[in-house]
Amino acid sequence: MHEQPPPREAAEALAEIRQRQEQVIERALTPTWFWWAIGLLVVGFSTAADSGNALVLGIGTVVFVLGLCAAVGAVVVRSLRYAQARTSLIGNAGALAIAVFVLGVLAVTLPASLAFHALDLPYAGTWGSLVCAVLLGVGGPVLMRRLRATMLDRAAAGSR
Amino acid sequence: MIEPKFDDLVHAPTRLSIVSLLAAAEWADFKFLRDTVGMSDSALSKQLTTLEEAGYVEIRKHFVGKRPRTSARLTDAGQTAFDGHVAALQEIVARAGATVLPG
Repeated sequence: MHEQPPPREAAEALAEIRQRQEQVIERALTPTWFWWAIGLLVVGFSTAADSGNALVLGIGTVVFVLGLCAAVGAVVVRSLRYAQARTSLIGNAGALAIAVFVLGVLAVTLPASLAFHALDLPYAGTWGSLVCAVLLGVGGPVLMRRLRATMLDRAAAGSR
Repeated sequence: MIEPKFDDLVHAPTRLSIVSLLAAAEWADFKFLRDTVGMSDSALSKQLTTLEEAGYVEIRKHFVGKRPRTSARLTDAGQTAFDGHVAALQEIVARAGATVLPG
């Protein structure tokens, strides 16, 4: 029969466990720069599309695709180099938060873009994409904080 | 429902840190574990081997490009032992009340 630790040691062990799990989850979250980078790429592409110049649009498309691949690739490589958090830690609450974020961005960006077009605003698409970029840049980190809390709670609860 | 079960193998300080990291990860890179826990390569290898022999950890060696990489993950048995250990710790703390929580 093994001897169980005193309560203080058990509490310290639980704190250690939480701190270690937090380190994995922290690494797994999408960094803030990613959201602004995606926003910037969307704005750049929209501006190229609004220019009406085929060459500018071609260059804009290439920059957008390469930039997107580089940003996503950097995040994936970062995750592979360290540790991949268990996907099960996201759970239904995390999935719901992601869905709400995506739908929220669309729900604001699409009507805003349509309104800009209806008002005959020059570079209406670019203004719409600016709204999208700000939502991504501000909302992305908020979503990450929400996911972090959800994942930590589920890790503490011993989810698989 | 997780059955509380204190596990001496998991509770050893460095192994508790390693298993806690692995419990939150699908796979964790050897270097990440080493740097995060602050151990030497040989010390970490020794602890991972102990955990592997107990059936708690699976170690995978592979190549990324030309570079050899070692990763580790918690097995189902390891996850069960960890969950039971955490439940046992929580039980000990709960019995003593909130006054023992570290600041």
